[in-house]
Amino acid sequence: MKLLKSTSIAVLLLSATMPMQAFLINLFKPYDMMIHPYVDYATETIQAYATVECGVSKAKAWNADGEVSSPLSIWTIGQCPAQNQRGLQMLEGFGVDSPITQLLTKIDANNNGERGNLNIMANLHLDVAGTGAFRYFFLEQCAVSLYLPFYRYRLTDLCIKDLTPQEDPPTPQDYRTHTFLTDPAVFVPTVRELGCFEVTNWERTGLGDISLFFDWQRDFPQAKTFLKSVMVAARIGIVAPSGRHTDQDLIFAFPFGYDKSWAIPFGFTLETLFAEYAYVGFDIELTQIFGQSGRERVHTAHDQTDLVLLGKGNVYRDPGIEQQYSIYAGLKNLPRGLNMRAVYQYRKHSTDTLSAYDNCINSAIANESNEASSLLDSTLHMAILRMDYDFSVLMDNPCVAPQLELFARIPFNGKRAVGNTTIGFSLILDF
Amino acid sequence: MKRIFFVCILFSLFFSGQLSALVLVPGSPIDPATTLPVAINFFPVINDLADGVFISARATGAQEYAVAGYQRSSQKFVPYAEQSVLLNGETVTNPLYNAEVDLVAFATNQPSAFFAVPNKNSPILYYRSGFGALSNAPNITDANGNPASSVAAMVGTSGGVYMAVTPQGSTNFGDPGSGIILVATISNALQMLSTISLNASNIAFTLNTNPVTMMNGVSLAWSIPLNLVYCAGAHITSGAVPTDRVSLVARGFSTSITPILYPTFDVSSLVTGTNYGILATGASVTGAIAFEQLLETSTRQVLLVTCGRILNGGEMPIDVQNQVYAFPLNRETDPASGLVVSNTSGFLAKKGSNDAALTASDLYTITDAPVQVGQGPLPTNAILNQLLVNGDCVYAIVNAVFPGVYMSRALFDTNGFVIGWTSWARIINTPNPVLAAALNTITGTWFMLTTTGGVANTIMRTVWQAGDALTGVANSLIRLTGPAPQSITALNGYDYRTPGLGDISLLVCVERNQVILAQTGFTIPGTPPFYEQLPDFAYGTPIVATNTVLSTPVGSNPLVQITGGIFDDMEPLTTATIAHSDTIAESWLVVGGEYGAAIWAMQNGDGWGNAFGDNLSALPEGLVMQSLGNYTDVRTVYADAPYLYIATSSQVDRIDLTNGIANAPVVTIAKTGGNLGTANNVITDILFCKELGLISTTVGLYRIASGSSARAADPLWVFQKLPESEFPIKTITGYGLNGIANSLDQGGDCWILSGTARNNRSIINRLAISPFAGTIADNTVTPFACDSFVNQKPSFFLDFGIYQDSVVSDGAQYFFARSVESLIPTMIRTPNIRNPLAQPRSTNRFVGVQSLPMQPLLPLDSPSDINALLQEPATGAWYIATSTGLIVQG
Repeated sequence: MKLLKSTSIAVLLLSATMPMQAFLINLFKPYDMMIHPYVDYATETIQAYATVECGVSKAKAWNADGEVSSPLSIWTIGQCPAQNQRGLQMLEGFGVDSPITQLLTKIDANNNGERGNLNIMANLHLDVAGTGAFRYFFLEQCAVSLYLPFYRYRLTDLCIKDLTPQEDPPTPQDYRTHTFLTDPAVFVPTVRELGCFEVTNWERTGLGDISLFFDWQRDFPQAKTFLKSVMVAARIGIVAPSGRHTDQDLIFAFPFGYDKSWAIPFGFTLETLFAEYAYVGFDIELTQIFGQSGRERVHTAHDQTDLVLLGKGNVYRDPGIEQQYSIYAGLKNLPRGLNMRAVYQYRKHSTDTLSAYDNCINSAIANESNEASSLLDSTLHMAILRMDYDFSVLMDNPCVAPQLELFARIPFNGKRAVGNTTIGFSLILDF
Repeated sequence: MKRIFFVCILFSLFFSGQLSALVLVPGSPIDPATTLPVAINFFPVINDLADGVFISARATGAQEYAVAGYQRSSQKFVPYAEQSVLLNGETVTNPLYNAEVDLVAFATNQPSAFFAVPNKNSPILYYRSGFGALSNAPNITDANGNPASSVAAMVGTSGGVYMAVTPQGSTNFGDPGSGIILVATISNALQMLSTISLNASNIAFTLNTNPVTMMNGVSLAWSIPLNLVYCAGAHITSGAVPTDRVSLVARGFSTSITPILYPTFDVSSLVTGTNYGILATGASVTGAIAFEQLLETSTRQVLLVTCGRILNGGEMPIDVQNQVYAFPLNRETDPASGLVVSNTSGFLAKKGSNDAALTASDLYTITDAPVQVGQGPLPTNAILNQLLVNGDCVYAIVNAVFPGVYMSRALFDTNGFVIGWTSWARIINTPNPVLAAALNTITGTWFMLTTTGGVANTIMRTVWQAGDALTGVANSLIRLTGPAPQSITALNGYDYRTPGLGDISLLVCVERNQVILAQTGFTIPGTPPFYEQLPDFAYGTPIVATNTVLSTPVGSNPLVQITGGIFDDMEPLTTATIAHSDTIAESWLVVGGEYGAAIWAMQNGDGWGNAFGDNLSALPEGLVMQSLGNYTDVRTVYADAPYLYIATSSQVDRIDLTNGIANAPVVTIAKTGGNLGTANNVITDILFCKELGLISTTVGLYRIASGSSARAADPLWVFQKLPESEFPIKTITGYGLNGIANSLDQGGDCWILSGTARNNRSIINRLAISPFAGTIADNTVTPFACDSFVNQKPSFFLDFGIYQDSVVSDGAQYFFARSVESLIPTMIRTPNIRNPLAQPRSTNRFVGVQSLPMQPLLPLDSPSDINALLQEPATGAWYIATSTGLIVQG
């Protein structure tokens, strides 16, 4: 019922979006051409639809080495068990009279590669995501589209493992590190007290970024034996920052969109139809994300890990460009009204840069790009399978042509990325 | 018992690995067992520009090694007297090849260039440039322009060499015609720039009275900061008239036209019978100076250091050849450029001032502490073979009575003027002859000339050793603390200066769950006490105090291992000290850990009595660790007899042991959140000496307030500003007149190490401690005013330029280290602060080494933690306790 309600709201709002953070997550992207409902620009006037998808299992993740990891370990390099949080470095870089510095002095220990390290693990679940969309077609080749997505994610089973050596007896440095910092029973309240940062399970529900697109699409019939037509499409849109943004005080609470940034996606599609039924094509979509200023968690010292940062500062984030490349093949109207498609999709989010405009921040350190930095580029490889059926083929001159689309998105590789395997459907009404 | 140890020492001469930390420095391949096949002349390179030492052959037969220099990269001597050489532009047989070479000197700004005189009695001067070409000087002439008979002494300068020459027909410097000649290198050719008459009638020695009598030669020394040469007579006697005067040292100016000058003052004010060290008035007053050196301290004070002085009545020259004095010289700088003005500098300085002394009352006498290096003579009959200076230290190389290298360190007042010297410490202790020595502070390497088969043909050097290569006490500590990683958590060295130690020197090694007492040496007769090391074979199976209970007699066993018992509840252990009460003549070992503090005492509270004898046998059976108070997170236990201070991260308690440990009054004298800042503030280190107390914290340094006392019922604390410091503070180290902090009440210095990894910076601030008694005054603790970047603006002393969390220094050598931090490897480093080419960002090249090259001494790949840097006080050996064991040099 909740799902239906969300869907209804989305449909009513006739909206759309797509997500992004410093890392890639395969957030449902409502204007993704690969899951767009089939439409005939020449005959359609209005199309309204709702799309809903659900995660079928906990999210997969790939770390900086491209190895499978916990979602919270995507910024680590290949270690097992992965240390994804350097506790002692986390305390560095604060004022001499700061309680954080006092704690570091009290511990009086160095990170020797093991001491102070933690492995924080959790499972990420996509409960539901979807969009409501409204499209208006004109001039037989053009359309304007409005999307508003929504999401519900959960972080569960969070557990913290102290990787500080626990010899018997311990070294004084190890003892103090464990006692005052990395003992899980101490770590959570400590970062809460010192950094107002919550390391806990969470559930987050909210809208994504609303987006408005202008689409152009045209078929060029080909009078050839095998090649029957070539479809060319282009689009440009604007994404408004209406989505739920990053919760700076909650672990791994990523945004449902471009995190308060405006963005301009633009894309190009080329599709060829062979022998009336089979088609192949490719799609390129680039998104220019505009920078935005805000108060973010930043590095305060060298070699800090990104999972838990205690310092905040005023920074200007200049996001890297986002690229998406898809190649696909499918069958159309075989049998009539049924379409199938298989897609390979590659996404890449290029390196972000931070510029501090806060005297309390060392811009070089805040912008530090070590191998495991969240600022560095991330990539995601994904397979998409979809099938849709146009029920209007069963109807005589319907005023509304209903369609049903089923799809699955299966991420299978990446770097500094998280992906949920999902299944979803769309209910489409063409007027 | 002491006799037993002397027997042990004799054995060690022949059988032990006592010299295992010394290795032969290879040279000529003719005899691989020695450095050269013939006897060696030894020439230390006193600045660190070169790698430490040059040698020359004292007889023919060394072939191309007739002159050789140590090369750090290959760790051997490389020959500089090749058989064939370009001499004055022509390829000829090298006149230095296979020759006897009497004198070698160095250009102070060219590491591989040198001057050489093969035969000082038939003087020909050769210059070998850094490129290997040879040139020779025109005839060496005396002050009368005749061929000089001999070269009495030679010293290098920045661009040439000064030579003290005797006149034609005489080998006695001082006879008419004697002089100082300056030979300079101009376009790699030698040119004699000036000849200055400097005989027994010269005003420089006579101070405008009748001629003096000079014999036994002279020595020359060159001051880099003053740009002046100093000439000291080996044996000078004033005229026979009671108003006659004598100066043992003359001062020279380095141009071709300016004559030799002399230390200046109102000569008429010299008081007969008063010994000013190098000046006197009276009939037939004699003085003897065997060696002289010029030292620029870390505070930029220039000192004329002499072995010998004006003799008191009845003294013979040999009586003062175990005495070293340091006379301050004035240093005039041009206000506009800040550069030293040589023609008004280099005179004897007024007491506690940079100004020239104007009257006799401005001068120190030989009984004044600022001029008494080592606080007095070396042991009787310990005649110096050589005098060496480096940093703030003076080294005496002795090969008689108790051979070795002795060191004394200058201590300063807030203006950087020497207030005294630490007592002599025997830092190189070897049964082999030590005929000469040299120190390279960049690598921490000592070079020593010793004998093989009775011939002084062997150079040994100290090396850093670890693991299986360690011997003696270091090997024992490794054996008893291994193989668990990071065993040693603290390592302290104690000697006679610590109450309760008596006649032994001792290492207290704290491991996570045990403490090891390891005797390193025992005193030998002498004032102050010097030590003999225990031979390697003395370290066998330790006495084990199981459950911390000493249940067997220790006897002469130098090792006691204390384990179990209360330690199991306190672990990991972090700190230890020796506490003492004069009142009841008792001494105790006190240990602190994360879960408490304990004292090793009998059930009745007794320790091992007033002091040890010459071994640990005073430890009574029945000693057991007993809990002290109820502490957690103990960072430091610190003893300042009769008080014991226990510092946790949040408070400092004082325990009065005057009447023993039973019902000892405990007072919390400092507490974060109380009199030490906010509750979050963290105590990092403490130092106490009688009324003085210093506590370092995250946010800065606290000291006992003026008018208060650390021993008061409720001491008052105030914040001590450290100019241009970094925080948090890591350590406090005190250097009193006896070399350690418990004599700071007589004056001394404190070094404060602070730093942050975030700023990648660590610095040292210096505090001058004025003598105090009974209470602390406003001026008791003051930052060094001479440590500054900007004139009149106090600053820090050293900036390492990188973050380092531990440092140890003896005043000449600086070793600093950082425990491994992520990908930054552990490294022991030495700042190259005395490199004359170093030009940091201020006019004071001793302040700030940020721009100077850091010399990685020991890239330590495997250990992750540096837990202690220590100079063992009795033997001078350097100990580095790491997470994988010990690294030792010496």
